[in-house]
Amino acid sequence: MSSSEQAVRPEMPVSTDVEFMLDGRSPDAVLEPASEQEALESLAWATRNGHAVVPVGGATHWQFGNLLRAEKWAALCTCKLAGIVDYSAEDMVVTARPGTTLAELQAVLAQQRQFLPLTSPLPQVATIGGIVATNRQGRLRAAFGAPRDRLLGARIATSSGKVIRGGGRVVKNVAGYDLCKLFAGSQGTLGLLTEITLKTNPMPEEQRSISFLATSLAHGCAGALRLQHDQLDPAGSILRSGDKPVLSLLLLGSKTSVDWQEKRIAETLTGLGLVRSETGSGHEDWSEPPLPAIAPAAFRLQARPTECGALSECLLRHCGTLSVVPAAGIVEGVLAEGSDEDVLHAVQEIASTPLSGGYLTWQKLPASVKHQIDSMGPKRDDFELLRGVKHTMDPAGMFSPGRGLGGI
Amino acid sequence: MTALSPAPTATELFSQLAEIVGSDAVLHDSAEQRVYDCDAYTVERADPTCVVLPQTTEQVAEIVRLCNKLGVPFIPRGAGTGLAGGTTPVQGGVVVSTMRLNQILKIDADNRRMTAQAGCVNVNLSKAVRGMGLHYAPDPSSQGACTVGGNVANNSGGPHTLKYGVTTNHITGVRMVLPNGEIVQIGGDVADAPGYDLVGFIVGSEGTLGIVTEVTVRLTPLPQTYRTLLAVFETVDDCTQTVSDIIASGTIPGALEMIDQLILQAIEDAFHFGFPTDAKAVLIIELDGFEAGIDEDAERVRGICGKNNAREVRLAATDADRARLWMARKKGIGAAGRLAPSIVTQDGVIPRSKLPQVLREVQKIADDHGIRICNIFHAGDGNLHPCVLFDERDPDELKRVIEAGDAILKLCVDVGGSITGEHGIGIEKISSMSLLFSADDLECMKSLREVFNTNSLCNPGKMLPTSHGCIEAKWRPRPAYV
Ligand SMILES: Cc1cc2nc3c(=O)[nH]c(=O)nc-3n(C[C@H](O)[C@H](O)[C@@H](O)COP(=O)(O)OP(=O)(O)OC[C@H]3O[C@@H](n4cnc5c(N)ncnc54)[C@H](O)[C@@H]3O)c2cc1C
Ligand SMILES: Cc1cc2nc3c(=O)[nH]c(=O)nc-3n(C[C@H](O)[C@H](O)[C@H](O)COP(=O)(O)OP(=O)(O)OC[C@H]3O[C@@H](n4cnc5c(N)ncnc54)[C@H](O)[C@@H]3O)c2cc1C
Repeated sequence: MSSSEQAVRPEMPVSTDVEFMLDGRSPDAVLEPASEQEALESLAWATRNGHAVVPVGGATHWQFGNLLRAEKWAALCTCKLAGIVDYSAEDMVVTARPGTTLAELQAVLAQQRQFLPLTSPLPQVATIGGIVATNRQGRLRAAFGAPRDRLLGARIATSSGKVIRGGGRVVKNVAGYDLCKLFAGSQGTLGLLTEITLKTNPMPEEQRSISFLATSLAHGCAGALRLQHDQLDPAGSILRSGDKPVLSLLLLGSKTSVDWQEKRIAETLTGLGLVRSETGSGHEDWSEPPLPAIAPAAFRLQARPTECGALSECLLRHCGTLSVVPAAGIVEGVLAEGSDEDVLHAVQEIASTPLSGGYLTWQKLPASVKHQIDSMGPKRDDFELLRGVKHTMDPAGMFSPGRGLGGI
Repeated sequence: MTALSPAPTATELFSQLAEIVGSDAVLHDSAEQRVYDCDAYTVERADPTCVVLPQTTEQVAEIVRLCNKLGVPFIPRGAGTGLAGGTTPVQGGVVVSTMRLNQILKIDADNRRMTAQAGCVNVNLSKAVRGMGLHYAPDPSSQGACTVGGNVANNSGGPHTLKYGVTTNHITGVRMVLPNGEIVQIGGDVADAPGYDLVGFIVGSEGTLGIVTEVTVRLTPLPQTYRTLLAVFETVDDCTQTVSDIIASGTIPGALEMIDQLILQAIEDAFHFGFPTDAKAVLIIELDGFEAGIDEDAERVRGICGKNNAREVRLAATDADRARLWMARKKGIGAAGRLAPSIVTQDGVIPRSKLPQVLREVQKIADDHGIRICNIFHAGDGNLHPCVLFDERDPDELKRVIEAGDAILKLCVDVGGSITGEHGIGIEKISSMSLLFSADDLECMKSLREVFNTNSLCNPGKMLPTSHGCIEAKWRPRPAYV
């Protein structure tokens, strides 16, 4: 068997493989390249056979995106394109293949007392390729930035059969355009990330989670913003809806520093009427909760931090659960179950929420609604540029056609 | 393709520009224009056809549309402190200076954002919000002069970007005039727009994707406190090993800068700060953060210095002491100007763990080429700035200087680094791009540039090698008598 046949394995696609279903469609082929060369061969196979390709890592975030516009398509899976290529702990830089899971990376880094301040639901499944391609970040966003902020370099296999390199393996680099940035948030529409280099962080001596109960989401947001105002920024924060919304904070630093932060933060928040709740500890707890399979729809709103309190109060009535990262201006809601009609109605109401700047995206939508609503939000001023970038990187329109913003 | 109108006469060009910005904002007499023929990379110069000083985004757009109509190149320019020739009008044309686009438009302290016009001087951003306990973190040594638009174009760094990140980590939006004259808003107050990260792509694009007129930046809280140490070493090796050890220990200082003996002596001659001029190298190590625990960190760092034979570790006892150390660092390259008639500052990046080895090899390159090199640089980032001292009037020495520069860049690439950490490619390093990138990589960058800059009129002849080599056609106005 030639290596391209091995790489392709078109016999793999099985419609029963729910994991690989996109909006109710199963793939016509599953490609599982085990090397960059095989990735190129897989792409050549897809070109010859008129298949679009949709890159997939752990498939935890695969449903996000608009409807795929292709008659025949192949899932381009990175499960075999995994593992760490190079890790220089003393330089705090790690290079990995895209299929490496977040948990695997964290485990290797932990041995050198380092970590990636990136969170994800199901870290044992979510891959670094998927994390970079979605550029989504949650509770650590305010203090540590998004995946794009720690992306130093990447290699990308493109539909024209070439491997392009962007950036490098050093922490500072301004040679040429910063190509990598385009792939952060590309959602598999530009090319296949085949190698990713990221900046790591030292693991602090102490990590401590502390929690407070608020009377409302707005109250919790006000508390979090007061910490910011008083320059007591925690390393992470998340506020979750409930009878009594819970504001959880992650404190990092030396023991002396964390003790001090805890004391000052507790004073500040209790002064505002929040009530101290049980103390948890550890970084493990900081993975994101996965979206419940039964959730009909879920949205993510990025807004100005000062607007999160009012927005979350207003959106809560449509949601089963809602969480806020106030300092980063992120509000995420999972819609309550209901009839198709109810869901559509709620989606429309949420989509018409007036925003003074900011973005609303749909992490999950029923396929029927995807015909009516752009999952990635309305087109913006820069749409023609985004389209130009797509056309340049993927002139054949082979990578996830239709799935990007505005149906790119 | 629409045919370009015949080249206008220079007078026609000036008068049409004057209609847009007023005649006091069009400079075309050679004395007025002299400073615009290069930036701080003075080795190559080229005269612009004229310089315009717009005050609004709309004026910039009209200028760009006019240049398109006439087929005239246009070149964005901030303060001209660039070190790679990024704003040098190599093909002539209209230099669009942001000097009068210098207003701060909006400060939103609660959301930690500020929007300023592109010509705002970097340090003014921080000054405007200091009273609110905030600052704009990227602090190039040139921050008293360089503009935030220039910083965006070059993705500039500074001593404190070791901990806080470079320009790209602090820009959430830009308003810009595309090379076709269209005005677009990319990103905004809210970070992480869905879709490709265009803001991130524009940062570092060296003025080749359009003219940025407004920038929205992230503001960072001022640290509660600082501990600024000066560690003094008898050998360069001990000093560089200390840098590697500090980074490897997991402490990320706010800044970690190295200065070697030659520069120390020059700084001492210029400012009389009381630096130990007999030391081979010093490190400025600044820790910042919460008061609680910072002394423990400082002790840990002191321990690492001691283990590497630091002769002495001084702590800046007062704010004035700290300010003096930073002044010495930021004026260091200027002071080095006293050491030779000419000086070029190289800019390369290496993995930090390779610092001791690479600095030894840089010294060897200097010895082999019979030239003097001194060092003052962002050691914590592995961002080298070997300063080559020479005399421009000596052609043989100039040749050796250029060869040594190339050898240093090659060394950086060979150890897994890059040919520039913050100064950019401009015209200076175009020919070194192929050390780092394949023909496919470069072709890809070129096609992406064309998405924005379709007819190559925006800052032509920069960053990417062309198939025509270095000598490019220069745009000239039609002589007035034609
Ligand atoms: C706060 C937060 C909350 C989140 N909540 C949820 C949630 O509730 N449910 C959920 O499912 N996810 C959620 N995510 C997203 C998820 O954590 C990440 O996006 C992620 O882990 C994706 O990894 P994956 O391997 O599963 O990617 P996949 O789901 O396989 O792919 C994600 C996207 O990336 C593309 N892609 C994958 N690999 C590559 C590659 N090598 N090259 C190019 N493109 C590629 C795919 O085409 C797809 O568009 C959340 C993330 C955060 C930060
Ligand atoms: C003494 C000295 C110390 C320095 N220290 C540092 C340092 O520590 N770190 C560092 O990174 N750099 C440093 N530099 C280099 C330089 O200051 C920076 O690159 C700076 O960002 C340039 O800003 P400027 O306003 O002078 O831009 P210019 O030199 O005028 O232009 C630089 C580039 O930006 C483009 N440009 C300018 N404005 C715009 C705009 N509005 N829209 C689009 N493109 C634009 C130009 O076309 C050009 O390509 C130093 C320079 C000197 C002379």
